[in-house]
Amino acid sequence: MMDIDLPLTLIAELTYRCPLRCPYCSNPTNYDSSKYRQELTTEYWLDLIKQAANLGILQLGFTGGEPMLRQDLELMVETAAAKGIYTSLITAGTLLTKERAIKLRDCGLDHIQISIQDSQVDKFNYIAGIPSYEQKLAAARLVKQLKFPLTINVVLHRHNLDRIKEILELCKTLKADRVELANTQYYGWALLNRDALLPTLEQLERAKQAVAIAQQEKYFPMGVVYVLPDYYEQYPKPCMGGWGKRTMVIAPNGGVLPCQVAASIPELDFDNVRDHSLEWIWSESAAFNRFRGTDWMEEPCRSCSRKTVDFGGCRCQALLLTGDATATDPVCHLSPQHHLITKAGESGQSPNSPSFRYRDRLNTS
Amino acid sequence: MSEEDRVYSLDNLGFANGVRLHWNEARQQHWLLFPEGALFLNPTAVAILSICDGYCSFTAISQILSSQFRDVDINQVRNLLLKMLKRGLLINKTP
Ligand code: SF4
Ligand code: SF4
Repeated sequence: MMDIDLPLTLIAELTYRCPLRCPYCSNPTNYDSSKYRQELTTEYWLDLIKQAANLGILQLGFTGGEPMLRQDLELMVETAAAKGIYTSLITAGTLLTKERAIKLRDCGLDHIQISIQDSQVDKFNYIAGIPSYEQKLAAARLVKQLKFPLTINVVLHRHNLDRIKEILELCKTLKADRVELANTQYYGWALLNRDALLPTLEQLERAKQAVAIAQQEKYFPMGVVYVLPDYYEQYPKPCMGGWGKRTMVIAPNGGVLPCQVAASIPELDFDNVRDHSLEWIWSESAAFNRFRGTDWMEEPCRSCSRKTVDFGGCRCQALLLTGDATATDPVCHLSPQHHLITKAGESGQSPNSPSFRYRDRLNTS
Repeated sequence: MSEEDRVYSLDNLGFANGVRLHWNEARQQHWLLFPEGALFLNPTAVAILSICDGYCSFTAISQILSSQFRDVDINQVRNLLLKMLKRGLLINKTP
């Protein structure tokens, strides 16, 4: 029997509803199916937070969709804070009123992360799919005014990478404590829009330089995280720090997943908090044990010395590109299917990009 | 000013906004919690960070530690504080 670590982080996807329509959204493309519209009630969430505390969870991120659409968010924050869990609100910011922000602070919220789309207002709104520039910047200022630490998250792609320098300067003006630059991960909506989003190599090269300056000059006291897109690296990332090793994700309908895109693997059945305890799901469920540790691996990972470093990469990506979720992540140059990545990277070189397919606006009341 | 020639002061250190100590009941461990991160703390690290209330000089911190523990390695204390300062978890609070 292998040793199972206690989970460190719980990601609570409170809803997939969202007033924005980002073409790179990682929510499942069937996000408005009846399956996800049956959101967990307040009672479930409050009980889950207590279970999470007993499991030793240290960090709890409220996300979505747009978590602010849940009017019981304050109650959840209060329950987590009473247990000492560190709480983060991961929001688009458009619904963050002063009144609610103060209430959240009084309930013990620790940290707020706001996403921005671009530094230029027209581009910003084009990517978000609705006018939201003003509201988001106002929300970021409010966060600082209330003395929360502010993380700004920017998803990078072909349409904003040319302004990475201006984007970092905007984050600096907003006094972000930390910045996360995430290159688009091609799942969900981003996969549908991959050809419109894939950056060119020159764009990525210039981005690297802009990030280096921000690091050198210490624009942000808690640093800037820049994750290179998988497609351009030699080795895969240790996806989620290992399957079932640190993180649990609870989807709006109560399904529990080892990672936010694991629903893309059809062979897996995810147990639901309506049927089992979090502890059981973490240690006993088939989905969490399927790719835990290294026993499930095939060659070349099985006999590779990096197998406990990167855990063979991302299962969702392996499935997506090779059709086999147990295959070596084709990002790895040792993968026999590495050419699939090279091919996908090349479409980022074509000069004209197709237009976006947006997610529909959902009833967000 | 670039990172290399930055001079850090280890006086009047306190936690930055959103950084806090946490005793985890389930794990029976002390942790430092901050945005998107958590660091496991051994008893010495807990003792050092507990003194960082924004009012102590580095000399004062060293003295308090020496009264609590038998052999305090001042270099180790300095390194820990410096590391936390560079990560933005500790900041110099002006008295
Ligand atoms: S990526 Fe955009 S559309 Fe998707 S949940 Fe976040 S803000 Fe909403
Ligand atoms: S072969 Fe597998 S374990 Fe080795 S580096 Fe590649 S993905 Fe990682």
